[in-house]
Amino acid sequence: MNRLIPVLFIIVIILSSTVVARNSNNSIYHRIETIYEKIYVLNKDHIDTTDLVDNLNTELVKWENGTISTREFLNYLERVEQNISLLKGKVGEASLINLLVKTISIALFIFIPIIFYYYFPRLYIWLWIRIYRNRVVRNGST
Amino acid sequence: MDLLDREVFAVLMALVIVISIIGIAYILRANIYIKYSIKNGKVVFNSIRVNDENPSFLSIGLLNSHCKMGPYDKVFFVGEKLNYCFLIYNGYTDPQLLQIRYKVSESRIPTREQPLNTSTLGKYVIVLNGLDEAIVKPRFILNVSRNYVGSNITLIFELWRYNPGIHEWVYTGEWVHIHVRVAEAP
Repeated sequence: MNRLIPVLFIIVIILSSTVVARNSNNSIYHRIETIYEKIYVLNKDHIDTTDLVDNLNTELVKWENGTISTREFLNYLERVEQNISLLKGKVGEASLINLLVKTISIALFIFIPIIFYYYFPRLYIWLWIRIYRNRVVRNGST
Repeated sequence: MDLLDREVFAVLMALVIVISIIGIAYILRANIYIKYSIKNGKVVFNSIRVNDENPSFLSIGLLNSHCKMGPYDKVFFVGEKLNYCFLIYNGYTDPQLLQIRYKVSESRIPTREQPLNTSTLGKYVIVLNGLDEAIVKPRFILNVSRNYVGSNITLIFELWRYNPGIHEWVYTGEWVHIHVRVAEAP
């Protein structure tokens, strides 16, 4: 009976540490989901998240393969969250740039036919004159 | 050919108008992303990236232990690590949070609509940029009952994606499977 108690104690500790590890992994996965949601929203708000996603995936793979510890990964996730909140401050500016780029591009495309209609004949005649200005017209028979 | 001839000029004008309309349609469909760099806690404008809308799909492919197509290991013992790689492609323009769910069945496989209705034995999460792909090598262990020793089983790897709209993982309809033999441990 006396030997049984330490054995039971060790079994309880092993089982509880497994449960704690599984729960902490689940909470990390939940945190990744929350971070992904924020990245997704940033992306929808026209902010480029390519580097953010690439780095997050690199660290996530490292953590899942056991190359980095959970503590290191949590520290990294904290930095990602800080960067996301910094980028959130640029949402308004990004939306404005998106609107400007689209408006200017569409205006340019609308103006291309008008510019072509007015300037192409002038350009063509100017080029024609430049090419043929050294030519001499002579009277003569063949 | 006189380019200023009325008929020739009309054809040229028509061409320019068509090109212009195609350009406007491209700009209206395109996604514009503004790239910022973060340096010492300061966010600085970097560049503008234009991405055209593409047909959206996700895919998963099974690769062997050298991360190449075939030949695949087909005999494992209980508790052995599965030496498989996976190629995952994100055909969406948005980043995707993806998950490979590893399941085992005697012969049943999932369908395009329904995942396999058995417990998940392993999960592997990755996050991929839009129109990006990755080759991953998850640590999946063949943790099945010893009753399967000497029989054939099917390993199933389903691709799930996280839907930020409903805050849930949803089955993509994509999976890969391989029939293997469970051997006695050496």
